[in-house]
Amino acid sequence: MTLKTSSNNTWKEFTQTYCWALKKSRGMAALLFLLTFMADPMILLLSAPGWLKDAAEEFNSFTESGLQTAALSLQQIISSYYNSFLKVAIPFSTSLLLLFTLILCIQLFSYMHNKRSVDLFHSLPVGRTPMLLGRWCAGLTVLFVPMIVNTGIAEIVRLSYGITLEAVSAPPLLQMLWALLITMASFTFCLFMAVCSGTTLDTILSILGVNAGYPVLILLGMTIATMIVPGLSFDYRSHLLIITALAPFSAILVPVITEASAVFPIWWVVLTLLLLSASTILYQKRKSESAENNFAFPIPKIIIRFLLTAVGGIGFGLVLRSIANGFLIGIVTGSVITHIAVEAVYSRGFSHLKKSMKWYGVFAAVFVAFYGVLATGLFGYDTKVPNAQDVASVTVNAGDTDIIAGGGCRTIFSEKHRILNSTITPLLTDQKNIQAVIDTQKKVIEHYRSDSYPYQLRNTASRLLTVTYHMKNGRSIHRDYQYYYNGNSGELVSWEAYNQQLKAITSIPEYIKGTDMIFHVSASDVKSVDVTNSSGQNSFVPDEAAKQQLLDALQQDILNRKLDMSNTRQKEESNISICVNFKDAIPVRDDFVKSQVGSYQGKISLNGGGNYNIIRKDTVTYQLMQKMGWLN
Amino acid sequence: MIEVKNLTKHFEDKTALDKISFHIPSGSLFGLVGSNGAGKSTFLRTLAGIYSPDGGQILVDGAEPFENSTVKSRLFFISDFPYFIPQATLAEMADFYSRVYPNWNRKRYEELCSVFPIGVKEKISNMSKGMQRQAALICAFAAQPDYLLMDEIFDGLDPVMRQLLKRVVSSDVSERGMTVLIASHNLRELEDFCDHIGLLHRGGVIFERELDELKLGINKVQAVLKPMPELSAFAPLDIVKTEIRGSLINLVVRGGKEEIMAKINSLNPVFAEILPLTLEEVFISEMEAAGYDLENILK
Repeated sequence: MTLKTSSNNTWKEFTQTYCWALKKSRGMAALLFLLTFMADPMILLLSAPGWLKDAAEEFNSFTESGLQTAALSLQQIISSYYNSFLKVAIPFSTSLLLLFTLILCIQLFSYMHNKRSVDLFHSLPVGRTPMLLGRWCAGLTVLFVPMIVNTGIAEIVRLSYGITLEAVSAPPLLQMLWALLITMASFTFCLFMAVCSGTTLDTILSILGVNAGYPVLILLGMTIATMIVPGLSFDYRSHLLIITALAPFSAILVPVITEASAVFPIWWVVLTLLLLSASTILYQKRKSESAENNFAFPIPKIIIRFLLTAVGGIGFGLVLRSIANGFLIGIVTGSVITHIAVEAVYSRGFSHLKKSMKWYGVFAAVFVAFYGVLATGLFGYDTKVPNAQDVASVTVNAGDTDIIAGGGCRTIFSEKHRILNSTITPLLTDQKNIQAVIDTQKKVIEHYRSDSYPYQLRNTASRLLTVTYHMKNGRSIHRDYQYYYNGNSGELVSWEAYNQQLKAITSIPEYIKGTDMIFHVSASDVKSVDVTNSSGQNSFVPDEAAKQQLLDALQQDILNRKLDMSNTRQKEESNISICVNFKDAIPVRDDFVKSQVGSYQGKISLNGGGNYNIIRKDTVTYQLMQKMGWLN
Repeated sequence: MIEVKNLTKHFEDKTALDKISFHIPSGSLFGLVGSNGAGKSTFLRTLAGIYSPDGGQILVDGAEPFENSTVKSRLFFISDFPYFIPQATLAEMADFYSRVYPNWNRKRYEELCSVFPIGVKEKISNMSKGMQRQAALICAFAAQPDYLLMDEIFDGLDPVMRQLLKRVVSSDVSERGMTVLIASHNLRELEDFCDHIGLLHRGGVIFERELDELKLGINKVQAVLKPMPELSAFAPLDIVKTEIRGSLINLVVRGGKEEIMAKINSLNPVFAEILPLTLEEVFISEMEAAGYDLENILK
């Protein structure tokens, strides 16, 4: 009975707070609605008629010039206009959301940073939890409703003009859901900082400090690690979750909606719940008298000071290294100055500086440990090489020296023309070939170790060797080796001794087949052929047998290295280029293609076709074209 | 009833309330006085549920106010610098309070608006200090709390408004049995208004008593004695303060008038009389007796 009454009271207090806070923020909601309306539906409404007209003209020009076989459909053209619009409208809307998130945080939670307002609100017959959650929900309502309504209006406008989502990487509704989620995370993050801080200024400084400091520190850490540990590399795009994990204001600006990013929204939901729970618990424990102090709880100050000290130190260290080879001096100077500056800002003076130096000691110890781990090879990361029998396949890129003249066919699109893989990578499954790759990698590792160990910071140049072993147990091992410059002489370290070994990999037929999609299509996938020579361009639609002959000829020439840029540069006997146009939807026919498109399940397309410059007359392709009469 | 048991409150390394214990009966008008930094405001904030005690207990009818909405709904606190929602008018503040205080009385609010000369549609932030206090008082009385806590409420109020405040408070105390706590340095205002007085100093309670009992229990004696006897001759009087100028002696003595005069007369004075003490004089005497530095205490 008592429990029920208490729960009823809490609910009543929550709704009272929610309604009051909402009423107080209705002006902000109206302003946000107006601004986001101007950013999205209004511009769409005004621009769409112009797009339809321009797209029609563009489509007609394709048709009239006879290029319609390679051109996009009218819908695709209109959609591309829409996609370009979204690329501007979405960042603008999300930036507005960020700004309003910060403003609302100040408006709704700054009461706990003023002793007089604390006297009022904490003496009210409203529990702290309903007071906090009521305001949090009101803030989210103010942020969400304008966004949802405007997205709805924009969708109605889009549909009324018949604009489809052909070339759009993520539908607006999905974009909206993402924006709502990350806005919720950002607002909750602000709430957490407001609860931990004693003043509104400290709240803002903390929000900005973590959101800027954390991603920069992770990026600097990754940069240093990549510069020290041989084979270590980071694909920043696929590490966006780690880079922005504690910085929702940074994450909101990252256009990250991809099929592979399911973990991303899950993380933000989890983090939001954690931050909300922590805020609620801490607010219960927060002393009213901490208003107008620097911090109610010292944790954020400690974290932010560490983050910024590390950023200042590593950042300045790298700057000094690039201009005067003074990494150590840079890191010490940068970190000490940053530590003093952060402490002075947070403590409004230097009175606590001496006491704070123990936290500088923590940073110094962590950095030394971090650098030490990297310099000694990151717990064996540098020398780890799998046994060939444990490897199912290996994706290899042994440099881009043997590029097919004309570019070949290396990019895979989805059926809706979204890029799935911009450059396909060879995949080796033969045990003998896998062993060859492993042997080469071992030689590369030996070279790195013999050059300098413990490792030092190196400036890298172009790619030397990239391998990804797909293990039989489902795991994978990825290493990315680069050419690099000698730390003392500044000269590019020679890898001459290994060029032949690398060449041996790039000559493996299985490797070559992985460099061009022409090996992974069938004759039925070919739509037409455009041949360009000195007399102009001609389009042909060969029969099935001719298509197969063409595929065979191209494959044979590529395997024999007769279409490579390096092999044709000295033999400019002809000036012919051939473009093989493919149908829009091509089924995924083999494991190689599957390995190149990740988790994508549908049919693929090869927009732009396969482009080959047939410069040598001793190629099978040249002879076939002559035989077919395509060169007349 | 408010019960205070070993109540302790620290601010970092400073002790604002040091194990204080006393009780305030329901329906009383309790004046809380003391030196600057004595802990009066801290005590009121702890009672209002704003601060959580670091030790001991503060109980309102047996329940602690901190994070207790039921208790807080019966309390109304007006701080020394009342806070209003930015840009709010009195009408908006009334709307705000009416949502959270269950006993909010709209009729009473309208009556008070006609009694206090204040514009309900005027922004409170543009009002004078005294007008802002009036706005806070209107809201407080309209909320009809069982316990009204006021910190330095007389500051900024003109004499007419002070009298009006006293009248409204007295009416609520007599009609509804409201308990009132006023922290103030203005002893003259408290003297003819409160029925109980508590004196705080440096986080401790020097005394807490009924005002009449307090004033009756301490007397000022003026006497001319020739020759002036040794102070030991006044034993066993409980002398709080002594001043001797030649043959004139002024004494502040605890105890009944008859008992004191009997002792003085036994010393054959040329002249002797008992004078009434103001509340201020009582405090000065008590605090001197407690060894406090008067220069830094009552202002």
